[in-house]
Amino acid sequence: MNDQELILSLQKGDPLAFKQLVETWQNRVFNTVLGIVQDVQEAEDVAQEVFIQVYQSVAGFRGEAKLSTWLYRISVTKALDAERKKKSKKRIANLKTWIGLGEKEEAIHFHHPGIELDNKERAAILFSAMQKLPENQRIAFTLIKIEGLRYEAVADIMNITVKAVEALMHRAKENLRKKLQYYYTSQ
Amino acid sequence: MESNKFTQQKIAETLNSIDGMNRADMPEFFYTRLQARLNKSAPVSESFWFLLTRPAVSLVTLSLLVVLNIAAINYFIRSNKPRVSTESNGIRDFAQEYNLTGGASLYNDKKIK
Repeated sequence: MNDQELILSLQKGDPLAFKQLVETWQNRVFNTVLGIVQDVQEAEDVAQEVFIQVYQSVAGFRGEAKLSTWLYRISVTKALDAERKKKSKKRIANLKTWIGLGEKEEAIHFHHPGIELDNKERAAILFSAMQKLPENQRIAFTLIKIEGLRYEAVADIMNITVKAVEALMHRAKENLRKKLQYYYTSQ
Repeated sequence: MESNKFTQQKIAETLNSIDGMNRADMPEFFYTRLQARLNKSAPVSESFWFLLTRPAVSLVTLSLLVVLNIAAINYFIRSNKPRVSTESNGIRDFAQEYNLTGGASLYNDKKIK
């Protein structure tokens, strides 16, 4: 079944088509979300939300974008929403710590399951630095470096030009270099 | 100089540490868990409270509450002033109608004595 047939079957409410969509896309959705939220349990929850949204809104999908573009867009949006939610919780926790009502939480390094053992520690430092990037740079960097997408595909997902994606990647690398420089010199 | 070179090398190694990484696989039985969640509908109150945790929404709500409070206090102060004067006018009219003004007593004090 190609993408168009799959979408038509989904729009007709075929449960087998939905199962096929989930099985085909679950790892790509999970990997993208995991690159942003950096927590396995949370990434699974967000991936569930992505497929629930697909299930609920597929009737309105008019095929203006590719199925892959649509799925990646929903994944990125949901992951960033979860990040914002987490940040606001963190702000409340910090405020509680500041007024003496809570204990300070230690920062935990995230270990991506797809990284080789030799690189685990260095990659954890990089993931930590990625969290401090501005949203657009973070999306471009995650989709290209973590999910392995081409610049053209990322441009479609982010609805910008390929040149703009290149600029975002350049700025993301520069920012990461600065953050890593600070990390290693302050140790 | 030497330490700077060492730091630059570490930075380069860290930036390259995710090159050639594998895609993370979804934990097993995801579809079963997804189906279970699909059968449950999300409560409306949850999304409402989540909306309030957003800084922009909470700031706007707070400002709106402050503005409404100020407006309510203003309205209360303004609406109270004329009411007091109408009330006192009413009392004055009443006193005049029954000849209670000018300190004149209704009773003949001398007679009482």
